[in-house]
Amino acid sequence: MKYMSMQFLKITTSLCILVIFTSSVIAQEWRAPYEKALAAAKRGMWEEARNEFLSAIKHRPKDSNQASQVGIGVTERRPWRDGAPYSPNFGAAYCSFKLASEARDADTRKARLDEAISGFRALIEGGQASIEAMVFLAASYNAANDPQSASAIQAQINRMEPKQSYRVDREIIEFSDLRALSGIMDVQAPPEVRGVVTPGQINVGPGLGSSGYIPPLEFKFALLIGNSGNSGQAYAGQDVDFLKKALTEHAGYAEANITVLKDVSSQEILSAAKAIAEKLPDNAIVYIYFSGMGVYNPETNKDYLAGNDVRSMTAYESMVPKSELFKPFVEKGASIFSFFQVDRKKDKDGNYFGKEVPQLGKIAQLFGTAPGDVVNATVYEGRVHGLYTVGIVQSLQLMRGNRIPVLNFAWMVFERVRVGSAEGGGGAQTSTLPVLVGLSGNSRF
Amino acid sequence: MKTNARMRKLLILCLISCCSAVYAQIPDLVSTFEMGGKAIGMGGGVYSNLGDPTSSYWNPAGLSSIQTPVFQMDFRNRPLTESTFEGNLENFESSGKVNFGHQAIGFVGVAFPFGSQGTVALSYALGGYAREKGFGTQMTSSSFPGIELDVTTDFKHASEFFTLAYGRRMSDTMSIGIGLVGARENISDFRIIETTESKDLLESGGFTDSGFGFGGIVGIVFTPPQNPNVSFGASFRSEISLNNLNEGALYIKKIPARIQGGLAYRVDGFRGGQDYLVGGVDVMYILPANKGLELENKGQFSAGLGVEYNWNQSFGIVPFRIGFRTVNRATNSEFGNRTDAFRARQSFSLGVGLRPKTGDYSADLAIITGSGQKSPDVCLTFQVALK
Repeated sequence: MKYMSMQFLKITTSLCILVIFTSSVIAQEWRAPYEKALAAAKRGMWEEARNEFLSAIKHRPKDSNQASQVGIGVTERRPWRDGAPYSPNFGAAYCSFKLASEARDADTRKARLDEAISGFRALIEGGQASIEAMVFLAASYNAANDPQSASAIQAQINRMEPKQSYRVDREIIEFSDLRALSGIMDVQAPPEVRGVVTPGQINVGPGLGSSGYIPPLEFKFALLIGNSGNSGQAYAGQDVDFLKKALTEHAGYAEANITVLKDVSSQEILSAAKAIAEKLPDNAIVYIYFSGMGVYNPETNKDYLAGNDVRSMTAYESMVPKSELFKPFVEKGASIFSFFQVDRKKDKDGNYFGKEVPQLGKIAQLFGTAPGDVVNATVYEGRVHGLYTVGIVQSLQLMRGNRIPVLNFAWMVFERVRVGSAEGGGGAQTSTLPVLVGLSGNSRF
Repeated sequence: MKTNARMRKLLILCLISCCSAVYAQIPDLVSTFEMGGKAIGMGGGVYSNLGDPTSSYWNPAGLSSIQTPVFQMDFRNRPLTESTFEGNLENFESSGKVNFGHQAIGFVGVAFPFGSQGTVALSYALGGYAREKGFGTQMTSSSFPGIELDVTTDFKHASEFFTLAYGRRMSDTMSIGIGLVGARENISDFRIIETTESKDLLESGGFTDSGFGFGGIVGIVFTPPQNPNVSFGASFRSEISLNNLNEGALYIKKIPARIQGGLAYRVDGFRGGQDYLVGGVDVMYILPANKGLELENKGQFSAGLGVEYNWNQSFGIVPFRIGFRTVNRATNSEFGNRTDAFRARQSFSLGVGLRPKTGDYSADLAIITGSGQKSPDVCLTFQVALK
């Protein structure tokens, strides 16, 4: 020190004083609380994680989907966490959502759900609409018994292109929720077939787990026709009631959107179809179920459905052409998922019901039995029902959701029908996989 | 004791006056020796803007970029000039080649960040170096008329710096740093004169000496708020007076002050945003010192520029570097009737590194080809995060 120049000593002393007493703005430090929040979230300590996210927000208020840089020198600056987004507001809302699921009393649960809803809505309305935020917002609405709002959000998700989704930090999200998100956000599928959140997929706490409420979607409609007359099934009327209950409980169909027809005429079938078509919004889904007599006319190469007023299997003019049944829905651009519990005996020329494949529209056709075979019945829960209908209802119970992929569903029905027929359903019955026009196997009803 | 010291000084004066060819084309790195590190692969173009433990030596403000405790060690060769002498000792010709020398530690340092309170670092750096071994045969001298002489010389100078430095971010755009520098000067010079024919020893003498002194360093790094991809760094290291030198005081009494500054820039977005490029230019000025002494510095510039392309892979980041550096001659050009004892130096450098994503270490290699050098310099750097 003795040999240090006096000049330098003055400079360094002044600088030391400057450093010690300076009141210049210190860089806002958001990283430490955010990283603590992530660590707490990984341990499931949602309260702690939420508090740390709020602390990060104080230093850096807005979420960002761009990579953050750490380090002040351009030579040493590195993308923070390999370019991960900065999502403290999303994180805080998600923590509230998780805290709601852990809440032990209704008031706390409601308060946390309100926090979550408020947080997610702020992000979405602020132009940071991520599919993740929308999924958890819908789940929060579901848990808060607000199915209309949930349905509205789900419709928004449905319309969203994956590229439009705001990028959020997925490291915040619990693994089980991430897995559910992956199923929902099938990014390979076009929006109209992508899955939608249900409480069965996102855990919203006790009482609302996988046996809980499936929110109905307002753009889904069903026409269930059970005609026991002619060569129809005697249990057709019971089957349509059975199926209606399953669609409302397990598949997200609003009761008001389900039309049930029992032992009706051909004209009544067509009128009902037209009435439903008038109510359809854009990109609607129509579930058609017919249990009764169906025939194929080789002269017109068309399938026909028989009303209860039809007197002969060849009285085609008094029957409903299948294409006419589809037509009003096709004209509205709806996706049609049709299920036929119909005998499919072959005539001397090998023709059978279901041979007609529509040329236009978005239509999936599924049949209760293979060409050349007949449908069978079984006793289920003390009542006689068609094997195919039982298979459909059981599969709905298992798959539970308001956007069920048709091919997976058809396979499950196939298995249930085979099991049912093996257990004394009366002969082997093989239901079919979907015949698809304008839809894919991943299309959902 | 005093008589012996006086005799040594006289002998040295003899050496200086008679043997004017002690130094032959030694690269003038007496005050500008680069001790290694990753930036040497970029021609030193980012020295003033670095953010690693070597910042304690170059610009302590850069320490504020360090996020975790880190240890760094640099190995590099210490070049050796081998000269041959011809003619008369009072007026002779010399030629020399710069060889690899030996590999040794050029830098060791450790830095500890304390969050927003700043970062403290302690380091050792070799900041000045010159080494020459000379040999002449069948030489003549007026001091030994009629006799052919073999002359062997060995000169070495090394300036070592021990720095305790502190750097702190004052805002999102500025950091400052200060440091206390302890410098040690090591200098030695030996000469042997024998008869060429019978190897009779005529003269043998020399010395080894060292001195020590304290100084300081201050620095700043500034990033314009409207352009976070550019930074400006500047630092000043004070002149350091050396004490305890005896014979060495005839060569050097002070380590010159150094002022330097540079600009570094960054370009992101290569390969879809995975890769980025860093470049920089840096200029250093060694202030005049040691007037009238053998290692007088008349003011020396050293400047470098370089780029580093960071190639992002699944296993880590691989930086590729290229650079150029120039150092002008400034150390005493009139020593002992010689005009070419020291020479300027230009060098090209290539470097590569590895920054694994898993693992808290990194490694860097640089190859520097200097003008007049027989073999390139090689630098290895290792950095380890301490937990």
